[in-house]
Amino acid sequence: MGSGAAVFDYDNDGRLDIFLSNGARLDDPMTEAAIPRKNGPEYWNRLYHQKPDGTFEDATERAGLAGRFYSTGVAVGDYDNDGYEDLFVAGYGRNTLYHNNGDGTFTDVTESAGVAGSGWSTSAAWVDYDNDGLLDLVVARYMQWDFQDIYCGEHKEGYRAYCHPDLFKPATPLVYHNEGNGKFKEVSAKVGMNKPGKGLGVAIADYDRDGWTDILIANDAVPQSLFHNKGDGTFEEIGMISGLALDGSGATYSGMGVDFADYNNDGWPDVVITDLANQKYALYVNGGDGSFSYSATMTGIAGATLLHSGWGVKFFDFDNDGWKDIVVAQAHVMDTIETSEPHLHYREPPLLLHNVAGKKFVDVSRASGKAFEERWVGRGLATGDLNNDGKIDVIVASNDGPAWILLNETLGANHWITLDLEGVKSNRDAIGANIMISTKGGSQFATVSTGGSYQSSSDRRVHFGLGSESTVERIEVHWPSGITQILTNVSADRKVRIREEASAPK
Amino acid sequence: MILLLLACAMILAADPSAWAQSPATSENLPHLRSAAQFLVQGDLKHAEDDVQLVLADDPENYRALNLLGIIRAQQSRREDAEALFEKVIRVKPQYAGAHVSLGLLYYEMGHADQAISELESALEIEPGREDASKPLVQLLRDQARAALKRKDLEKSLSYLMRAKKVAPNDPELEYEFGIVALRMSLYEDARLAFEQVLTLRPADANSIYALGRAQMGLGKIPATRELFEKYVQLRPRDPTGHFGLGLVLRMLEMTEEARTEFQRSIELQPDQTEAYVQLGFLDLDGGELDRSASRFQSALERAPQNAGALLGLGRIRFQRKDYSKALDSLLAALAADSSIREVHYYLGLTYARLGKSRESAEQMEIASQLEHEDLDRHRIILKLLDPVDAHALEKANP
Repeated sequence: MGSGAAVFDYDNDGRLDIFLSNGARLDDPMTEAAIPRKNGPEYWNRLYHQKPDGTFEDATERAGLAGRFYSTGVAVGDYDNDGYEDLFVAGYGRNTLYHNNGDGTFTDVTESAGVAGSGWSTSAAWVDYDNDGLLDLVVARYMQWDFQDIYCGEHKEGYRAYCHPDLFKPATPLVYHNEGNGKFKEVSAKVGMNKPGKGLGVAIADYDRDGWTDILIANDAVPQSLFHNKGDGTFEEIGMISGLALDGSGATYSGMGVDFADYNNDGWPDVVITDLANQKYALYVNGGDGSFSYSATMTGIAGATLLHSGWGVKFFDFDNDGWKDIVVAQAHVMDTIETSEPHLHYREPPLLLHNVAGKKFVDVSRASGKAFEERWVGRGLATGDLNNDGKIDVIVASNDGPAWILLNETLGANHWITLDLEGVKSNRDAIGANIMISTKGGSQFATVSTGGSYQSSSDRRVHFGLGSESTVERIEVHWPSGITQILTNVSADRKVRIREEASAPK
Repeated sequence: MILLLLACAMILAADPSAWAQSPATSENLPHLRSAAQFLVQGDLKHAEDDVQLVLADDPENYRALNLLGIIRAQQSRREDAEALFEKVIRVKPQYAGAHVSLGLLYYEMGHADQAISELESALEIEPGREDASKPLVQLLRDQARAALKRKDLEKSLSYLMRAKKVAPNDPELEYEFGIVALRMSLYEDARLAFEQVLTLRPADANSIYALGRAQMGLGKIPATRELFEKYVQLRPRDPTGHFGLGLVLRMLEMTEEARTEFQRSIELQPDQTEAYVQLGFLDLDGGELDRSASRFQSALERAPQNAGALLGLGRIRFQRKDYSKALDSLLAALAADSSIREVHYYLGLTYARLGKSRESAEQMEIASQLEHEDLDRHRIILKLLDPVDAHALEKANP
């Protein structure tokens, strides 16, 4: 199932760094209840610090982030509001929380924090679900699984296959409420999020714009889960009735990566979910009334993705034209797929879909550089402006292979703006803050988040492409605290830091 | 009694050394051969004379008893014939000829299962006996067709599988087997059968189309497309071919190409319904709601209870947020066909919009059940492919 990637500035030097999770040693056979452990540098998670010249150096050992267990997903968030990004690394059998000490090192605080968890954790996302100013943590879990040797696939040499998820029981997500003082309490049952699923991706957004951040979990082969935040510390799962749980024909699919953002600039966050070949990636348009419409065919996504399998996925405006595009890390799950289905491929190039004025997505991969011709076993994907040039770059983690950095060199004169929010009454990362910007060309909407994609964590800063507009007439920030802050006539092509005003009127 | 006479001819044609059993009966050989010849010529009296001569000398001579049985069958003395054949089998169970005789007698008497049993026994003793294999294959095919007629698909398939063992390279048999397998959603078995037919008859259009259906069931959509395109080239005026190709192109999200095929199907057969429904769904998926509604209405003018068209109208109304009218259409679709998962799904969504959460949950549950039934069908396919996999599934999901 692969691993994740995180893009974040761990030492606050203004340059994004990269963290890559990694597995652990697996023997054949393994005892059923075994929890694999890393037993050599080849299995270490890796932290790469970006140097001033734009190259990276391995800072893993110094930072103390090598890890001990089989790592899967990663989520970046400043859970103690000390101004330094902390790191949650999900894993099989045990999760790990690293506190950023602010000096280039991290401390494993899992036990004291109470977030070790159990089972097969996959993706995670930081979110202040109760708007108390402290980041809470949602951890998706895949299924109830161990190393019992079940044979699946034909009994012929070269035909053994991974077992279908249907063979295994679902698992509930973990929800950790941040109690303060570095402590967390698992509250999934208490808040109504203990609905079993087969979670692989987590994304957050306030889909109904009621001021409370909602949580979406992409599930494999069972309905997708949308947890509506009721604003009273609890959630109700409404995937089915909202129209988001299944595809347009009412069928389940293998949901893996997920992102939650407003791609058609109508002010309401929409959803993209990747899945396997022959299923078509799912796109849901937010109707603004609590409902979602499956729109993969109408927007061209279905045709572009029918024969592909997708994992990490992000909405991002790669060409700064003001419309969020989509990038996907691709590969099939089965390394033997070409034996039974010669028209499908295990290794696949990444996919870049250009958003045409919010109406259609067009596959522009082939015209976007040699990187989109290379075939990888893509899994995690994170986005961020690595070189601070106003163009969002992409990092892809792959199985049995290197990670890849896709540096965005898109030509063009389109303008952009990057907003770096700092909460004061709200959580310091401003996760969950909703931003609306307006230019003469139109409006755009975004939520601050490091979550989404597959087992990965992206740059917290919010980037907007502005097309030909060089001035943002209005920036409206709705903080999780309830404070609303407005900036006007902000010039483009720069990073703007916005600190939550202590007593701005609502 | 023609079959028995044919069996007799087989006896005559047998290698003379096969007639010899022991030195003690070598004198009877000319009489036995003579009896058989008279039988083939229809001279029962002289045939019996020769047989009785042998039996007078050797009352337990199994060949003579067998021939006597054939004579009795020709005389329509079926019970006597049956008793004689059974006696021969008791005396000489490994004498394939008696099993053939008894089997053919049962065939004539309409005792199909008994006939099949005896003919199969004959072939176990002497594989390759055409006087057993040909009638056996025909009998099994007849039984398969009868089972198919009364909608007992499993039985039909079972008969055809047995027939295939006897005549492994019979393209007609493979085709029939493939069709039944297709109807049972046993797509892999169907695929193998039609591929076998096509190795013997590469341009068989029906098999090309049927193979396409099997590949579609297996989810091999690009391969299905190739087959349906080939079919359409062979039979350009068959509306079904264009319709099938349109379905595949729609599955491949090749909207305009699919549209062309459905329209061609309509040109060739204007009074059909399904192509209109498919065009309606193409327009619906493309967001062309007015045009889509018009297509569905055209379909309903031809077939007012067409579930697909009613579903389509229901979805349009749902999309337009006209939930009361959507409910009407979807309930009508449900009344027309309650097995369509999508109907239940959209009913569930519609009820939810109308605030009827209990009804919504009920419909969603049914939709989920229908999807699981589809998945269970795939597991049945798996069982037939490899019982070991089925065991693993059952072990993991007690």
